[in-house]
Amino acid sequence: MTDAAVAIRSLYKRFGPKLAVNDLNLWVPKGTFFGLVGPNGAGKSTTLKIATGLLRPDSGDVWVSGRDVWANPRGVKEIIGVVPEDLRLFERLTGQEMLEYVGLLRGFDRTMSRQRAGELLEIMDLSEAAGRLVLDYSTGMRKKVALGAAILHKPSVLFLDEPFESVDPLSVRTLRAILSQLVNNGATVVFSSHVMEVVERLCDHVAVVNAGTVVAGGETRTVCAGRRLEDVFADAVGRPAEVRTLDWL
Amino acid sequence: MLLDGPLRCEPSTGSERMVGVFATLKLRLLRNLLRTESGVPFVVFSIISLGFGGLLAFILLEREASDGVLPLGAATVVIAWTFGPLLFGAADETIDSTRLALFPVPARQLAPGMVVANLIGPGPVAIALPFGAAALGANTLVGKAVALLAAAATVVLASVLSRWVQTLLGSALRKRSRRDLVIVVAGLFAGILGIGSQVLVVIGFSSDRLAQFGRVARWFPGGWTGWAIQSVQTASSVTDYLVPLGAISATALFTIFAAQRWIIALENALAEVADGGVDEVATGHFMDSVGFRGWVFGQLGVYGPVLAKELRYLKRHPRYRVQVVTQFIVLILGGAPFLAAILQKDPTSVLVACVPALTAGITASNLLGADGRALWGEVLAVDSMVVILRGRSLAFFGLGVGSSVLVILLTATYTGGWNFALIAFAASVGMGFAGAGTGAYTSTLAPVLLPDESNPNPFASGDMGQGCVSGIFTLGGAAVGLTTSAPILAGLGFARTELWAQLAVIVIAPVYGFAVYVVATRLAARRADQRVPYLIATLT
Repeated sequence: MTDAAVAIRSLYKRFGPKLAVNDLNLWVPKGTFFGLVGPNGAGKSTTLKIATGLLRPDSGDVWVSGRDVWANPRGVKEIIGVVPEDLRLFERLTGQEMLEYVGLLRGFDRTMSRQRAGELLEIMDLSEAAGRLVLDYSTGMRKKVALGAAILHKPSVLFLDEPFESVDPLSVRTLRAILSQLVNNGATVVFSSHVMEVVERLCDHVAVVNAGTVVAGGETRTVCAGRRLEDVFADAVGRPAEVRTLDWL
Repeated sequence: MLLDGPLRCEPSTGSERMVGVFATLKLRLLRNLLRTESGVPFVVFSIISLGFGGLLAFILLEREASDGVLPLGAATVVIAWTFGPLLFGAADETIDSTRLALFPVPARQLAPGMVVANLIGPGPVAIALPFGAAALGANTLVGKAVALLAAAATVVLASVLSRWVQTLLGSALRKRSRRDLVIVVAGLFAGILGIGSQVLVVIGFSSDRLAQFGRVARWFPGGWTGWAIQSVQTASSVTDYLVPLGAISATALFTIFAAQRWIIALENALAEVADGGVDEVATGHFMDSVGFRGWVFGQLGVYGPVLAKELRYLKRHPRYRVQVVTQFIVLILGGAPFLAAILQKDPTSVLVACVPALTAGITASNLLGADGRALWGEVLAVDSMVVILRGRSLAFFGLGVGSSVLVILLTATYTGGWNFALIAFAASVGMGFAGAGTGAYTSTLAPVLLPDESNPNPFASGDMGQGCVSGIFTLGGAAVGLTTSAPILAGLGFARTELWAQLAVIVIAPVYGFAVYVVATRLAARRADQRVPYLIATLT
């Protein structure tokens, strides 16, 4: 398992009557930009939560950079960064304070925390908003500051759940540049998204998840085989590509 | 630049370091709170609590505490600090395991910092002031030192127990069934407190009684150290200090035990924080368009959908369920001030069974809070705050009057006072409307609880201390509801014996209450209209 950034084997997770993750197997090579796509409720977010030690699976194994997530969750949290979907941030801190606080929790000293917080805010075009409460940030600003918190310690593997949702194009460009820099420096980025164009353009590897299991996966160009990812996706989840309409509309 | 820099630094997250980090965080959160809508209420709360604590401290510096006061006070502080957040919904970001779970810091290192953060703020200072003053009242230097040690042990114990309970709650409340169980337990706890206060009123209160309670309290956590502070006031020989020091040691051991259990619970909470996903399945159509309920909704016109949605929320939303359960348990059990009269089979006690209807005012005081994130949808669809406020408060009116009807039936059955049932029902309707109307108005004044729906703890607010501030407004709203219901209550007083008063209550109370409801909701809508842009910006 040491040659994979993330390895998931026979993963199961049930919520009441719903089987959210059903025998899911996933292999994310190191240094890749990995996209996890799937329809709503497919199990993407649940899988990411389990992989980051935020949700205990019913059964199955997850390794991140060779470390067993559920045998050593703290060891895994040291080397990963996470931008969760629900973005639970420290709302009553300013952007600068929040990043500094994250740095302190990560073990940096105050000077280093302050320096990195400042650099991150600058690179994310948030310098002017550094003194504003996170509560008052727009959705795009929240995504950016959350990404800042996730990469402040330079993680080996970065997990992002819908990072580009509700983010304006300019901010998307900033986020993409940062993520690309991370991958170029040897880190692995795993993210879920509904936006096929973004996944197709950014990711060198992709997995399509449906009904809690991976139904297609591998190198993006191999999976697509000359077709658009959206068509591959529609085929993989077993739905017709044509769109139904409403007679009364 | 940043990403070309050095690799991760090795974690250096010692406990001492975490204490500094959390202390700084808490101070920043308090400072930043002043920049929000809750700033003014927070300042008012701080002034009141510090003023009260200072006054108590002044009194304790001037004169020796009566026998039993300190053990009772210390035990009360520990119990209130431990369970208070459960009842009043105060929680802060410094203890939120869902936020801390992303970091590779073990619970053992987080715990001291979290305790220290809990000790920072106007509330803890207000509590520390009288204990410090009592400690300084000891007649020797050693006595002062021992008493200060005991006071410190009391607040540390309270803080640790509080964190432990809240961490356990956070874990326990991921499932609806467990959440509801906790809500019922919390309601029963509050009910017991309510009954206790009634018992005190019935049996009377004196310094002897206080001393008796103090003797009981000294066997409870917190009471030990309170008793130690009291004991050293007049100590003069070494042997006089032995038992107080024993009490402090016992408290320290108990604190260590509680801290160990809490750290284990915290470690588990940090390992799994994500919401449990599907745990409730809803059925049925929104308006239940067939049957009596559908007919009622239909008659209500534009208010119908708002009311229907609110009733759904009362069933499904944790915060609303807290309110409903609290309403029923606290006010039916603890809020029956004439329990003794009922037990004596006084038929006129049926009349006071209308009081639970007033709870409409308490529950309606958070009309805009529980599902605040969805407010924009109603604003866009209805575009009238009058409709939204009236539709929502009607749900609470129904709950309040419904609980009154239940109590009326039970009381009339038990006492045989059926001839008072109709009067009590009419009064319930009047008081329910008055309470719902004034509650709606309060909801436009009070800080709206910042929704924190991804947090499994239904008692938590997304904003530190906001639950407590909102609770104060709710009590204020209840007081206004009670005041506007005063004419009805006065009528009920005469209705015990006078026929004219009985007729007057039956005829006038519902009309009067409805008039209050109409006027209050209209005024509330005027305020809310001005506030809508802010609310939507904050909540969505």
